[in-house]
Amino acid sequence: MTRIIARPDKCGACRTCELVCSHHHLRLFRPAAASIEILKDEAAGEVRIQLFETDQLLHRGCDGCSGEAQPLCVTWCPRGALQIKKDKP
Amino acid sequence: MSTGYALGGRILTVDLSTGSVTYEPTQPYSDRLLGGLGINVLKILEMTPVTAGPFDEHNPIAFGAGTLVGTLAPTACRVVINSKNFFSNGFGSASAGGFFTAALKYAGFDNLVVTGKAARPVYLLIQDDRVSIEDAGFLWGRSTWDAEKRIREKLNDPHLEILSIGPAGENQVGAANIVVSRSRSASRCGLGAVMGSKNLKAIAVSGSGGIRVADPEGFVEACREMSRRIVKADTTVSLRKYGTPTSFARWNEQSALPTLNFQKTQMDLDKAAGLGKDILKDEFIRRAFGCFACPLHCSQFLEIRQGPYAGMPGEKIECQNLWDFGTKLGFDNLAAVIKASALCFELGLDINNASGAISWAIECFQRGILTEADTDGLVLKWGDSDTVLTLLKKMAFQTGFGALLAKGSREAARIIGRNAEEYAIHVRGQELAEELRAFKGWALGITVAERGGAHTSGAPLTERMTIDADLSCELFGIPTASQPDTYAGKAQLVVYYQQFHALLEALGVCFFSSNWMGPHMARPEDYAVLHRLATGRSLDAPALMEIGEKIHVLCKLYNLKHAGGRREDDFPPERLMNEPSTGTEPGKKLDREDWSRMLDEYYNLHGWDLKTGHPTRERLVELGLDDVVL
Repeated sequence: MTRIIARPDKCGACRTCELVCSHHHLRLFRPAAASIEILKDEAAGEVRIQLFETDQLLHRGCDGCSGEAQPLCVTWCPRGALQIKKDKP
Repeated sequence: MSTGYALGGRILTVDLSTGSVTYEPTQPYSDRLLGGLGINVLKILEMTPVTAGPFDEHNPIAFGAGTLVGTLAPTACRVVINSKNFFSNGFGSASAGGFFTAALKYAGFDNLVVTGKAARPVYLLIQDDRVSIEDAGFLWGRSTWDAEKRIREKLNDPHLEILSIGPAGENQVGAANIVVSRSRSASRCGLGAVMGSKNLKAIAVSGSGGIRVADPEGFVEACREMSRRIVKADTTVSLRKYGTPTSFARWNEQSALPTLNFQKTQMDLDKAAGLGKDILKDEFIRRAFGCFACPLHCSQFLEIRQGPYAGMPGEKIECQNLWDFGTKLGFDNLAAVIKASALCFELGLDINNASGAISWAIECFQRGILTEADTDGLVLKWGDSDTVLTLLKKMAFQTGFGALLAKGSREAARIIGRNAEEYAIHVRGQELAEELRAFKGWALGITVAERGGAHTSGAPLTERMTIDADLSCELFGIPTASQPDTYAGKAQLVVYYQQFHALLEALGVCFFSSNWMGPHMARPEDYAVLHRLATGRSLDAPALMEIGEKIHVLCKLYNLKHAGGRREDDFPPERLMNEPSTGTEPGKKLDREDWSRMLDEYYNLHGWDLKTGHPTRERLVELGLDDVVL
């Protein structure tokens, strides 16, 4: 399965990834249900990126954007903070 | 008619006097004026008694998310806040980016109206359907940054988005703003003081719901196309690297920045070099962040690494910070500008209004109108950053001389007399922030702004760009959009941007994605596509711009109802008509007769009476606004 590598140091914390991810799963914009979560520490200027591989609370587990050519969070990130890592066979 | 798509669904009204919480469907309002500013202005017109001053408990304050907020629409993140204006008793408006309104919509609300006055300090907590008024005793007196941190710690909810006021708002200072997501500010008009008058320290919101659009696939594709255009634009590349300070040196070289309280229009070029964008980037910027759903990322996280102001002041500095503290007050080093800006964030002070009052005071001191006997023993001089930091604190806490500055320069000058009024440079009582003399359309847009002197309510930036006559005609219907010295066509340009800005504030979209920033950025037609795909309503660009016109006229009507309005109020401050620009582009000023002709054209385009500047009855009927209660 396609896995995502997150680079919090490059992230601009705009949460576009949460929007496209939730839209992939549900056809609506609902960051609380996304397989990715951006948590920004405004005071420190730091970002933590949480990836959900399985369902957790409202969050849907990542399916690598099944049906899409590429994971949407990767293609939509304006900063290149999310990249694809293929599992070794 | 509206479909319910793209809506949170309800408008929430909270009365802090009674503790009552009421809900009503958004749709009747969004059918008429979309959302954000459109709904806010309808609500405050409907609810504000004409006898109520800004601090009257019956004066409501409205917080609006635009139609596209919560969706993938690029830059749809804005919060628009409206209430009575501290400076004019008329229309007050302020907006900010960040993350607050996305959370509000996910909680199921498009707009929030707060009225009444709490008996003790409170904050409003909205967690999805749960709305509560919470004790803010542990927050009162604290900075905006500290208050936000303590709310997060107390509730242990990492998804809360918070807006708050600082000591300036609590103490009902004219320059008080509302700080959003720690590093964005809804400034101008003293709306932080309105919150303070209600004992409302903060609003915290989290939402776990979602927003549905009418045509999901089409909408995502249209967002992708717009996002690509935004990311590729030259302005975006520059904004991400430097933020809006990228424009500072050029504007200064054009002799177009307010300098030493508008006595000059250019900072000495060697001094201004100390405020250059490359020094900012190399020595202070750590990384760039974006607001919600924004591909631009123009917000710089800053760190002062050495010197007397060393520390981590946080995010966001704009070109305005450089002119407010740099040219206007004479600071010639970036560390001092960044420190003063950060202090304003913490105190909840609007940099335009705070620096405006201080620059008036320094000029009065320069002229001997004010002395150490007035200023608590302080010697006021240009470029003295430590004294300015002291004055900002005095203003926020209304101590000593700060209590006079807290009233704004017009009122402060009236109180002390001694001809000090001549040096209070204001529009409708609010400090003028921008230099006007070099750019006639920019000057008109700022001067006639209903909220009182502001460049985000119709002022064009095109006069600083190169736009050929054909493209200018295609976009604005006039060939002169980028000719700074001409008055011709500028009224039409301003009307275009008044409508477009009002539309963008109803949609909740940042102006930086629009053709305000460059002729190839998004036009009304592009937003018509996004709006149709999001809501299912087929409104074309002219129909949306007419809604922008209606919203603008309602702001005007609010002013007429609560503050009056005369043709004379639409003229710029005398100094800018009498004293010419200085520096390398000298000799430019605003001509009263040319201005008067431009104003006639402006009123004609709106269908307003030439003598009074008021909308005619016929025009209100034409716009379908004759039912608005005045």
